[in-house]
Amino acid sequence: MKGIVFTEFMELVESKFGEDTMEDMLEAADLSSDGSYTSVGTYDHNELVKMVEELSKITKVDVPDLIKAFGNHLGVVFYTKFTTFFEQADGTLEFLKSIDDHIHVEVAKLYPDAELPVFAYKEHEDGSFHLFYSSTRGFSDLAHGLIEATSGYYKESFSIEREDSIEGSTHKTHFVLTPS
Amino acid sequence: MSEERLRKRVQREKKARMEAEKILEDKSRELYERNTQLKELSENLEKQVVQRTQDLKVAHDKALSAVKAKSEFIANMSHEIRTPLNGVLGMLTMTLDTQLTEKQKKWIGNAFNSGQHLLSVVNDILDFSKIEAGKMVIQMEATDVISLTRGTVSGLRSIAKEKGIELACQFPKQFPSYIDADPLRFRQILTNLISNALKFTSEGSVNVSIKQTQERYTLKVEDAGIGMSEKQIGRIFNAFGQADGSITRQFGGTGLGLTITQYFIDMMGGNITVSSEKGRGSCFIVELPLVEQDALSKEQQLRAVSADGRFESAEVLLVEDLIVNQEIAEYLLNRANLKVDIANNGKEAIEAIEKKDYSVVLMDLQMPVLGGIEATEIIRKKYSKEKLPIIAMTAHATKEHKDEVLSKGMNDHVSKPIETSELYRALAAFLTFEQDKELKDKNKEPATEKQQVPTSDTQNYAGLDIVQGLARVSGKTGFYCRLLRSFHDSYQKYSANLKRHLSAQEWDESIAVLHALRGSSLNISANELAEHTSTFERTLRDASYDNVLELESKLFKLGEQVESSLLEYLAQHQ
Repeated sequence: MKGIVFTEFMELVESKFGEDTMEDMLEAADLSSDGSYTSVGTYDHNELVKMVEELSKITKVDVPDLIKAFGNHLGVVFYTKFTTFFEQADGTLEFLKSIDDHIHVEVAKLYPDAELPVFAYKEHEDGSFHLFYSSTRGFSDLAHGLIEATSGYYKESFSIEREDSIEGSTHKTHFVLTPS
Repeated sequence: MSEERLRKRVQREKKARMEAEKILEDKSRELYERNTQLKELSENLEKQVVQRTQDLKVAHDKALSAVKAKSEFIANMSHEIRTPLNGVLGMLTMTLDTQLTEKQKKWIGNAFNSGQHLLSVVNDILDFSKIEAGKMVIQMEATDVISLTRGTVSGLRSIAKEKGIELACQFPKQFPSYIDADPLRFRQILTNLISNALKFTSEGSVNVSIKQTQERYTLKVEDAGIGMSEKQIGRIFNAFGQADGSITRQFGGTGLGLTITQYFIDMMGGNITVSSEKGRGSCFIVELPLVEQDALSKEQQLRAVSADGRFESAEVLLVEDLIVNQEIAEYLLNRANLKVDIANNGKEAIEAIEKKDYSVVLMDLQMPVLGGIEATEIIRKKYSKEKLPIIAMTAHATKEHKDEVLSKGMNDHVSKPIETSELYRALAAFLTFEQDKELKDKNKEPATEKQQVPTSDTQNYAGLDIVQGLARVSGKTGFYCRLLRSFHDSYQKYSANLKRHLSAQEWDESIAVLHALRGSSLNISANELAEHTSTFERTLRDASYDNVLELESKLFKLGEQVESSLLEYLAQHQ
């Protein structure tokens, strides 16, 4: 997983829960990297899973909620750092549609070793938008948070329903976005 | 925060920084290496592009010069083949004019036809190589298409007859004779289309018709031959492309005829269309723009009219180094009633004109010792164009070439192989036609001459103009009698031959006899007979055979009349 996810996670933990909580989390997680991350590096995604689990124990906040909150934060970071991608789309749905065909194509050029999740979509006649997330890592909550942050960028509001499933080693989530 | 945690944190940050730096260093090294590779690659590519462009240019130049060498070779070879072939054909033509047995006539006729076929193949190849090299020049002039078409059709009649196919022609009664065309190329178009039609038709007829609308001349050649499919039609105008490979095996041919035909038609601003049905026959339609008759110069009309005939006797100097060409030209000139002296080169020509006054000089260009152009330049220092006309004879028929010889002081230009009508047309500008002279004589000197001959002498000989006849031989009765006797001898032969040919519907042979009879009639001033013979001949040339019997009986009636008159005259004057 790309370093930016780790450094942003550390930033979030430190700012929301303080330096001590962060240090407690790191000590409890006992990571092979010692929690020493740089945005230009690449790290094992299990370290992130471990940190979130330890943070949940310390803060008594559920893991999914933590990850989703992190997704919200990461979304803001993305639209601040990579504004161009967001400017190219007129709204949330158009942006989501462009992830697989455009954004991830460009990301793969920049980071040939990046393992990217797949975002398929379908528009229903009733106006609902169906997004199908699938990844070996199972960060559906992160995706959820990112979708919320994105709609925030476009100042749009959707009610988001989701259904998770696992097929073999692939985590799948069916998001349904309805304008509200 | 405890000191321990702070230390850890600093440690962590330092580790991250060093890691980041290492990644950055690795990446920048990688970037540098990639960059270097890219630069090398792009330099290599550029070198390769330069090299390949160079290679391509060499290959292209080689291909071009190979094509050029090929075209030149073909043009030269065709030329080399054409020259001796023309010699052969000329000699065969002359032989055919001599007394031959039927067998010999047939054999020589076959040899002549084969030679003509070979010549047409060589000509096609030569034309095509010229077209390919972009050197083909079309020389548009007001052209008498009707007589050109008639002449071409009658020339092809023997092929039709041999195959037992009817070759029918339809010309409109009122037709502007002149259209804007290159006569040489127009004849080629006609010959190609009609001989193709004859070639692919095994029974039935080939119809040639001419129509005229407001602005266009339309030629239609229709056959009842093997026909073509849509796909085959698409192929026939391609060079070397016949309808399919089996055509070449069955019918032969170069596959160039229609390519050349289409090119000429394009060049003359016309178009050609084809319709065909397999097994039913094909129809080719050529449309050419018409030119207004006002645009014609009087000279052109005059020249076209007097294409065939005899001149008032004159002396001509023929300058030519090749014996074969000398003989052909001499024969043609003699036939037109001209006396010929021969010079073998330019130097001999200059010596000859110092000794004698010639009416016209016919000058070959490429000769040993002194060439035609050089000789002309020397002659022109002393004799003007008006005083001594010089007509160039050359195998090169392009406009540039013609312009060049004219600029060197020659009066006109005829192309070799010499075509009878072209030669006579050129000569007509400087010599007087016999007919013209007759007209002049009639207008000028009726009174004085008539008085010399007793009136009683002139009135009783129906069909003979004794006054004119005697005047032609300067009033020498003895000589006139000799002419009459000679006519009497040949008339028996002509009438027997003519009867035979006409009953066998051998039109070309009939035309030849009529032509000869007309000449003999004119010699003795049997004017009515000459005139009728000429009408008869023209009718046959036009391929209209409806009134043959009527014309034939009138001819023999006039002939008998002349015979009895001349016998009576001979009886009284011997």
